[in-house]
Amino acid sequence: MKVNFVLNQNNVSVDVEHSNRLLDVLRDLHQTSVKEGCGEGECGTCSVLLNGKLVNSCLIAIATVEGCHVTTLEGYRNTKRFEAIKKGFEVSGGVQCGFCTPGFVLAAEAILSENPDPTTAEIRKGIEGNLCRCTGYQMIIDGILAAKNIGKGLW
Amino acid sequence: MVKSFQPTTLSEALDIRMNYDVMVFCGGSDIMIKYRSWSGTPAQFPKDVMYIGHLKELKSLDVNPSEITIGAAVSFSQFLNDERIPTMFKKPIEQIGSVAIRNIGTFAGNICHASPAGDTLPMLYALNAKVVLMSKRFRRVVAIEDFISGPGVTCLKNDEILTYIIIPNTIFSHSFYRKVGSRKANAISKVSVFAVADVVEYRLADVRIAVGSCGPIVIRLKDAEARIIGSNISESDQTVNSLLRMFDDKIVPIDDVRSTKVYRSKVALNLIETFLAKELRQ
Ligand SMILES: Cc1cc2nc3c(=O)[nH]c(=O)nc-3n(C[C@H](O)[C@H](O)[C@H](O)COP(=O)(O)OP(=O)(O)OC[C@H]3O[C@@H](n4cnc5c(N)ncnc54)[C@H](O)[C@@H]3O)c2cc1C
Ligand code: FES
Ligand code: FES
Repeated sequence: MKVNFVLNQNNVSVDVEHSNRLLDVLRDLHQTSVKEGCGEGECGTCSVLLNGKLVNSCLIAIATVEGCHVTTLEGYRNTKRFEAIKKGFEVSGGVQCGFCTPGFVLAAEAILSENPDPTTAEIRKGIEGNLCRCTGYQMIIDGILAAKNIGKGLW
Repeated sequence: MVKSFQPTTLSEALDIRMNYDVMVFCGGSDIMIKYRSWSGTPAQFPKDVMYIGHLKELKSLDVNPSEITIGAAVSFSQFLNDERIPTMFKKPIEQIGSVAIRNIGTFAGNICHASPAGDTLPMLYALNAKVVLMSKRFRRVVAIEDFISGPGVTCLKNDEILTYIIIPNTIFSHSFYRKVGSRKANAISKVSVFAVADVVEYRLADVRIAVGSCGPIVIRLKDAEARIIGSNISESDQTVNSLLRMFDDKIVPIDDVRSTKVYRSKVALNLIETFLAKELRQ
């Protein structure tokens, strides 16, 4: 089937099976920040924003994306908000191998866009669906706390 | 290759349901896992699929003093973000999956999936919730406990769609929810207990206790509840003990990959005791 949606700033049209995962469609569109970790909704490495909401693209059938707005890190990285999160992660050491990072950055955006001044507990709740094998999470939480100050006024 | 249907209205969806043998796809968080295939390939659905998650009629969330009516396509996040919903009804929902799961998962999918570990179910049983089932010709309203008859088994007919969930908007003085899983997020319940009570001047005017993951279906013990309604909450611990024995007979969990029978029974009884002996007296 033909599915039309907005990927970051661009209109795209793909001709695929209706039950193709958004994850695979995005990777075919060279969105390599979107990664398959578990393939079953548990790890968050395939995170994207669908109409501004955080979702796991491995659980989204492409048929349901018709007319939607999909944001991947490839698009988000051109924003001022991304710069703030990037700095936050840099100062806290929130990136080690980096495999989980795109997912955490989009989870951070989802947290801050709902609440520009989250507490540590709220940040923990907001990243509960993202797994990281390297940092032990505290540095990522510190990174998001730093980002909310660096980017004050952006959210 | 299976076909897909994307109706634009509920009425069209009901037509399709009547004329074709289709699987209903709501949020997809259960279906996409159940039928997932190799990486890079589409999910392999066993039959034609009808997507309903986008239907406007099913995205409504109505709250009035007597009832809360939740459309089948209302996500858990939409429910949690609605300030009109009492916080005690949000407790089980905010612990489901993770943010990303709650953004797509629905009550309707959780109910129709009918897992004994479905986390919306203990609350729905305790609150005497009902589901609205619609086909082209009929509309019936069924109590949640009559809708689910076993793991994965419901009385949904082939031409029906679960369209709305109705929760009586009753106010209680006490509410209690504990989910026990292996970790905090994205964990399937090993045991869960949802309980509410209304205490008026130290008398128990109403009490409801429902236990999840401890049998083929959610357990609600109306006989035991009836025995303590009307009693004084500071009455002797013997009442609590005899009640716990009544629950003990009905709590029939199994051993599985997540936990054991013995652990589940013990924890369920401890949680019920915590509610009756501690929380109610506060
Ligand atoms: C990582 C992860 C974590 C999870 N964590 C939890 C958890 O903590 N607790 C929990 O209870 N569940 C959990 N789940 C399971 C799932 O998210 C829930 O059961 C959710 O409520 C399913 O809703 P859905 O709309 O996505 O269902 P779908 O996948 O769309 O459908 C589920 C079933 O219901 C049927 N169906 C759906 N809607 C209708 C309808 N309106 N009429 C008729 N039939 C219908 C479908 O045909 C299918 O059989 C988790 C899942 C994942 C992937
Ligand atoms: S690959 Fe989607 S959540 Fe792990
Ligand atoms: S930095 Fe390696 S998985 Fe998170």
